[in-house]
Amino acid sequence: MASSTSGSSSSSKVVKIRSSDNENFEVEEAAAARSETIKKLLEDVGDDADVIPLPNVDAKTLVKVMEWCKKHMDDVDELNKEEMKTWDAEFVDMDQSCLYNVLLAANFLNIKELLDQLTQKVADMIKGKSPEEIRATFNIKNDFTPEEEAEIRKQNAWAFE
Amino acid sequence: MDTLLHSPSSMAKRPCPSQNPRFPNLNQMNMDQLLGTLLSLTESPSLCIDLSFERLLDSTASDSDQTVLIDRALKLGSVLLEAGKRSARKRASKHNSLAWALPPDLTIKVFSMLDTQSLCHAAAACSMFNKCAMDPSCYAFIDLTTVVPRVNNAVVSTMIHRAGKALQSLKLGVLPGPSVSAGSCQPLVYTIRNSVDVSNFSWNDKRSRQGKESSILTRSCLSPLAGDSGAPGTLLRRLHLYNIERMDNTSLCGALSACPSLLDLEIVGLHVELRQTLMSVSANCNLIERLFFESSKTGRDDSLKSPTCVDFVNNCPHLTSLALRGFKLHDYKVRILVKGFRKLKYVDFSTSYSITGTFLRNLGSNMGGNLLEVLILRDCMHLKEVEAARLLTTILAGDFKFLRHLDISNREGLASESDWYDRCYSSSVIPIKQVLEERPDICLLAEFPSDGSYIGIDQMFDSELNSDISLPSQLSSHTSEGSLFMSFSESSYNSDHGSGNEDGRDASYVIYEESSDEVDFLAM
Repeated sequence: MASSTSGSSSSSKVVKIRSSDNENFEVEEAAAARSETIKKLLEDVGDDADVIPLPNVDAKTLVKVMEWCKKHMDDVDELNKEEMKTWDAEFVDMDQSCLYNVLLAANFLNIKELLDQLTQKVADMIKGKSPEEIRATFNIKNDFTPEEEAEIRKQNAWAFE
Repeated sequence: MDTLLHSPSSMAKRPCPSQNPRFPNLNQMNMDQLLGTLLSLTESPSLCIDLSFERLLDSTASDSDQTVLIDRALKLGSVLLEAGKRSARKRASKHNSLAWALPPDLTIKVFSMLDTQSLCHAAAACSMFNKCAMDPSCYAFIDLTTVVPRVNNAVVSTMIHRAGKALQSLKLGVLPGPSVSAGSCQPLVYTIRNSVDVSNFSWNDKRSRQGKESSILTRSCLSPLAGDSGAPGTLLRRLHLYNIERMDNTSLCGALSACPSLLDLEIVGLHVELRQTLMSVSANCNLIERLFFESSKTGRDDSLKSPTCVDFVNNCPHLTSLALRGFKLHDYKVRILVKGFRKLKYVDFSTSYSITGTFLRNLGSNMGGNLLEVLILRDCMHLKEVEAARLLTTILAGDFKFLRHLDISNREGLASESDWYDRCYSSSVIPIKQVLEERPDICLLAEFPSDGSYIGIDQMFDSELNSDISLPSQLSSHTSEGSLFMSFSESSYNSDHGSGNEDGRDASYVIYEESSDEVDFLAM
């Protein structure tokens, strides 16, 4: 952290972004630029940028996303890797609707690493579960005809033994 | 439901296929009103309909008309039932699309991170998941290894076809669970393996021996990899095959010829020959970086020839990790390999026969082999004490600069210079302590039955059969060795103990079938 802030003045520059519900945020440029989408917008508008509107992300979600970006602003050295892992694991541990929102935001804002972490989290919630348990976990209803369901189970019979 | 019933005008917009198309509006209106009235009979409708239907039948004179009425009632009932079910499914689908907020591309991304079995379970949860789970990218990493055989060729074929050209990794066969904990092998965790493999079994598991259950996969299980242009094998990078007993040389070679991009090949417990496999790898898989090959018949495959080694070295210059376990390997052939592969970092010739260790001479300096980070010669029957000593001396002299892990353990002791029947190990000959002091960066494993003692082969055999009894004394002898052996947790003994027993069985089984030098001796 210390080295990067002292190294260049640009990393402490602040940009303004606006959520879909019209809340404004001031974020360090280095953090905001973790989002490829914002980075590109910044490049396009140059220094005249007033506020960057993000019509697809609400304030609550944006706070979450920027929390992650701040934490991941600098390259992590070996020493902090473990600590960062723990932080990431705690970060993705959120309720489902929040998880979906942050995931969709990470997709829209094009933050690859965050998107990977969140999709991995959802995958981990599916892993090792039966179809019934998967439905229960994600509030999904069975919409197969009995014939369809039988056929799907037959196709993948090995997985159900 | 109520709102639907009380707003026939909105219902009228839906086309009803069973209607006469010439009078759609009239019929729809009538139909909707009729159905609405019928469905609004909320109070004990079954009784009400029952009685009404009886009266209707009674008022019908002719028998044939009654039959027609009953038929119609039954039909109408089932049509209503189907309509109800269909609507319920539609509503469930709609509910799912709201409850699951992710669009298909992100759902597919999630699914591509699943193991193959979880993916199949997700595909059976709902129709939206099922659709997403058919995307080829979900099958880029197919893992069909099972603890007991349950996967057959048809399953493999289905999965490979679903993957198509997206296929990157395929793991097949019977892989017994990680019953043996890592124990002594923990320091072995090596970056190459870490990066390419998520499996949690340890290197020193005697996988092939534990996995003798016959698999229902046959020799043609890999044939879906080959095919016309754009065959699924084209971009395959990793192929791991475990204990597929019916696999043979021709079929494996055929599969390898369809996999020109292969980087990582792991073969355990297949009845295929070392020479033919290496020839096929040389001819087809020139990018290969990792080969792990454990024989199905300990020490009996002596097919490897020098020209094969030379070809392998010349054609596959990217190899960094080589494990040939349980083969009969002569030093001069091994030397061609270790010297020839310029990028080689990881070598494991555990449980190989014939190898005495002379191949190690002059290897560690600039002659090739100088990049070695891991060298494992565990339980090599013919590894000589004098060669092990020579190796450690060259390490002391500064060779093998990058070596981080060395394993010369042998549960039967090392072979003496003149005669491998004489088992020996003496800490005065092998400068283990000096190496530990001079090169603290090396994890050195040197487990032997007991310090400096000689064990005749018959004695050794006895002790193997009674390894339960001998275990405590082994432990104590190791502890008396000093801190060097303290790091070997009990589990490593368990693993040796287990495989030792099985070896005993293996050997007695072999005696009736085949006569090789070693085995004949054991039989006496």
